[in-house]
Amino acid sequence: MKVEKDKRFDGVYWVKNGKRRLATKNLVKGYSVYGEFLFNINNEEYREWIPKRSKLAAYILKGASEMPIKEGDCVLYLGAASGTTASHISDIVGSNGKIYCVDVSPRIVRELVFVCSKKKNMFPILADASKPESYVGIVPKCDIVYQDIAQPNQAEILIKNCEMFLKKNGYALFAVKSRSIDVTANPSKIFGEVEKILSEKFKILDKRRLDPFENDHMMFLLRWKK
Amino acid sequence: MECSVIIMPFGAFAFDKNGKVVWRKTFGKNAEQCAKLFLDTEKLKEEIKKEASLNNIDITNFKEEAIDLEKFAIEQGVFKKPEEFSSFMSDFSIKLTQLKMKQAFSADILIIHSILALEDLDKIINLIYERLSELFGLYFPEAMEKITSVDKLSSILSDKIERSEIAEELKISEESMGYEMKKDDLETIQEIAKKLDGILSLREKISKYIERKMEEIAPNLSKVAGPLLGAKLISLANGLENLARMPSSTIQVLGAEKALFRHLRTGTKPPKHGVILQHPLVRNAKISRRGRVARALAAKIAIASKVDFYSKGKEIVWEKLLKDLEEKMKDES
Ligand SMILES: C[S@@+](CC[C@H](N)C(=O)[O-])C[C@H]1O[C@@H](n2cnc3c(N)ncnc32)[C@H](O)[C@@H]1O
Repeated sequence: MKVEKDKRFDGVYWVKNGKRRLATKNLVKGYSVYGEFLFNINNEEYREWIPKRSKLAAYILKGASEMPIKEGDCVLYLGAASGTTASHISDIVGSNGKIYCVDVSPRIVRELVFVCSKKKNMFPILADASKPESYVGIVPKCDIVYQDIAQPNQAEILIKNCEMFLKKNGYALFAVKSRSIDVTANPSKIFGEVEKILSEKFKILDKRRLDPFENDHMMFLLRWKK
Repeated sequence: MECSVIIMPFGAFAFDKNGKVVWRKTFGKNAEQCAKLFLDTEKLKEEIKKEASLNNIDITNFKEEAIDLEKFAIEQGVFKKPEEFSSFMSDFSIKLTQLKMKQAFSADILIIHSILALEDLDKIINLIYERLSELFGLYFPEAMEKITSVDKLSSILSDKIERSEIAEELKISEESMGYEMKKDDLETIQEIAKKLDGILSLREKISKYIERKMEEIAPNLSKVAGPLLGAKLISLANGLENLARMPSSTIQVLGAEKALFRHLRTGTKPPKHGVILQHPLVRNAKISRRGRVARALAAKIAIASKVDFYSKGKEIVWEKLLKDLEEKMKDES
């Protein structure tokens, strides 16, 4: 078994034993968050990062042009669910970084709280991302806003949050599911419309479809124009 | 002095025009204490206003602005090191979330899971019933012929299993083309029947429980739609609040989502009704009238659930709703 740093992205690794698997260095040794494999190599522990479970992993495997999340960053994560992707971001930003994990569903936040009590750089927030006023006192200005909420007005929600919480020239990673906007329309048309709304506020650095890992999904990498 | 205030997890800070901190009230370093204060921000704001005015600070507004909390906290000396701030924020956010989870609980979630439990039981009952009929049919097919319901099968077999006894109860001959079975075979079949009987009585208990729960949190919906159909609608809408916000045209087709999406995608006919077809008024209507009956019923269900949600089950209007509905049906026929 061997491990290799990703050539382009800090904090991202490849574990090779027959298969080549994407991985992050585990911040909490021995803790597997969602059933992913843990690999022990040279006294370090790595967590398999499964692209079918995490859209950020899918985005990297699809050839992400850039990975804005770095060691020590502060991230606002909207739609954190049970913390699958957020837990890998937690490994990447490390113990000096912070992830504010917002989700609206009490059922799913129940799981998130357990993950956050192990991964101490992840902070749970039970709130509706379309009402950022409700967590304004808790969340600081952040380096990155990551959003994956599958809601019809998701682009507006992203912009509203970036207005409040994104630092000057900060980045946003935005996973869009075409079918959550309109089940009947053609995905390309929907992605086009979303892109138009986004381009008023952001520079669009990259966009990639996430199939075969996720169908009807697109990941946008954005840079705040302010 | 006129100031604006920003409330942070560890304290409230008043800033003058130039952004200088002119007054502060820290909440202490006990994360749990701080989380409790945050639970009711309106109350917290009132308290801060009062305390500030005692110090001749006139708060003009509470600013909703995100700042670099960590840097600020350290500058203000609230925390000495970044790690101290991080560990406070971890405890604080977890505690606050736990407190909010308690508040987010509403009783309709019990109804949703109970109606789903009822459906689970129906599937289980069907499976066991089929298996039991096969097994018992091997032994006494002539009796199986006569027994037509699951309740009857399970109640007879949990009590008697010998051919002679069953023949007597059903008033048929004990002559049979079935296999002869040993005691062990028959006792095993009876064991299954007893368990099935137990599941049937559990089903009855849960359904009574749903009726009581519906009476408590959605009395109008319960009367207009019937308790079980009402519960099913709450579950399809994913909560009474969502149901209360739905237009009646959506309520009319709840449970027919597949047909609805097919209609939107491929232009087939739109569905006329979803689960409200289970309501006797709709089910018993002539097929040609069902669409109209479903629409009228959905309109009343929409009102009933709104009243239930907004009055928290306190206001009672179902009698009038049912009367209106009856009249509407009369006019139509
Ligand atoms: C597809 S899941 C996210 C999966 C997660 N990003 C991951 O990769 O681990 C979408 C989540 O968004 C949440 N959500 C939907 N609407 C929301 C809103 N308005 N505010 C906050 N969260 C929301 C849902 O509760 C759900 O957990």
